[in-house]
Amino acid sequence: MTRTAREVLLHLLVLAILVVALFPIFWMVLNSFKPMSEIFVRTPRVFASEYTLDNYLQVFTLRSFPRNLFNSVLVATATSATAVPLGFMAAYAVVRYRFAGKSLFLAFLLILQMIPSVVLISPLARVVRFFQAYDTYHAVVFIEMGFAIPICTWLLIGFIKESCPRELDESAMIDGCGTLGILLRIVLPLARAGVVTVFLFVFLLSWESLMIPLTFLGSRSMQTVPLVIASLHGQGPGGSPPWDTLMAMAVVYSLPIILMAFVLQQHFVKGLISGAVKF
Amino acid sequence: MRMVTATLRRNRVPYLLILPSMLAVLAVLLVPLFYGVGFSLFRKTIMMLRPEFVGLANYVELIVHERFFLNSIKNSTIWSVMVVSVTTLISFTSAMLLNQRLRFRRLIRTAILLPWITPMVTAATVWGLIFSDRYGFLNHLLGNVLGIEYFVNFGWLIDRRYSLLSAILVQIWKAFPFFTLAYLAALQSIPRDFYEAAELEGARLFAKLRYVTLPGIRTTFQILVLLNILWTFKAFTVVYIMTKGGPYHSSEVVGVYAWSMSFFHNRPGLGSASGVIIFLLLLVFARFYLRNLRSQGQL
Repeated sequence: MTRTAREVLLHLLVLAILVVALFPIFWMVLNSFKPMSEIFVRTPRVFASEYTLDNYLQVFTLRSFPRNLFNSVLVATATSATAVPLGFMAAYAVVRYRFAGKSLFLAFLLILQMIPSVVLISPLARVVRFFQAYDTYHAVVFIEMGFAIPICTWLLIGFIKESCPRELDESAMIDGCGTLGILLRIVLPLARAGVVTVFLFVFLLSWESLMIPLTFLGSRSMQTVPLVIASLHGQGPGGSPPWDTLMAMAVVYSLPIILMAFVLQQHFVKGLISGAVKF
Repeated sequence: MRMVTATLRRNRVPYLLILPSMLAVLAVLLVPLFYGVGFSLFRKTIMMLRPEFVGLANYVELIVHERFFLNSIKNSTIWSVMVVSVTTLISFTSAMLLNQRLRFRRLIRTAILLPWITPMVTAATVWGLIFSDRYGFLNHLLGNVLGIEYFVNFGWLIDRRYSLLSAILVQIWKAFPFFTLAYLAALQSIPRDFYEAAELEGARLFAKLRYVTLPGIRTTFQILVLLNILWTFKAFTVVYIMTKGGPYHSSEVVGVYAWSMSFFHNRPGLGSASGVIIFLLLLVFARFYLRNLRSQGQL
């Protein structure tokens, strides 16, 4: 093969991968603007002859969608806002201190990530019932936080190790700065990019979480968006799900998150990969 | 004496720092885990007021009498083997391609991430439309545009023979970007001199792959495959959204089975017992994973 032929082949292969990776998202966005008559057809054209905002209007007027969107934002924000500070403290302890039981704690964090949530969900349901916390935000947030802490701590360990030289907090300590002061005034600013990345990662985990809200949130006004999407899928016995509404809802639900992840993607990928592969 | 107190005070700090996380993790993960194991030893149906201790009867019932438990284990095995092997193959190949000199390399690397940062629920939803037997683009493409008669009204999600396979395809689509970039990072950590030395020795493409690339990424490879198994085996969302495990349990993976046992059929004993079995299976892989990390000196 000549050099050019090889280059062309290489680019074609990469193009094929990209098409497979990107087409579904493209299809979702495109269909969210198509009228029903262009979606529910046996020969769907790629580009429709007319586009409409009806699907979006439907999403925001039908059901309790704005409330559900608010629920998702609230639960995910609260999960990140609680899991990240706790994980940050633990990660700092692991990076800076030697203490008995440290490697046990680390192994523990790893093993805990492997517990499938289905094992925990019935006992948790019992606890939630005991505290009469079924269908409340705090039950879901607390559980999501517990699930997020191990991975969150793991990732932060990597980021703190990488970004904060030991000498800085040692000299701060000599200047009479307390542990909390060091954490907030020295380590946090230095590891800022990592903390933001982990915050977003936990946010994403909770944003797309299905099983926990499915189990602990019952009433329509408390449900998060994934639950609404799941229940729309099941609508109509033998009939088709309302794809027009679903596509618009999926766009509203995921596009902001996707864009946010893209903005942060550089830190995001590097941190997660080094977090997963070589702690 | 004062020095001892001082060391103790110094030493108290790390424990105070990990205490809140430990408490949260104990409350949400560890205590429920033990309770879950306990639950699996009790039987409770809707008709009963309080659960009754039955020992290992739930496990026996699952394995001997329950028609769909072993079916779900079988589905999960197919699911995991397919997802992990195909993802690994595709990711490794893509990483090799992306490691070449390419136009718009940075842009491509960013774009390929899209499936990974798309929420599971969204991925399952849009693929649900693409796979739709009547309105799906895939059937239109294969059946009408390419003219393969077989795919007109093909039941990707509603045919028992293909529902699991379709869900597997979505899971692969969702997972491959992360592993591609992870392999790419590993490939880039191999020093260029190694390849140059191999070329001097007269190594061709496959010899370089066999003697330079593969040894260079071996540990990363092992860790990524184990991680992939651990993430894949307990999957729930894609199947729950796309097929709810149907039609007729054909795509029911064990995560979905355990959940619906507990909360749909109201048999928490059976649900917990199957959860415990999943956990034990995963622990086997977790052991290898830990040993791998330890041998790298990361633990």
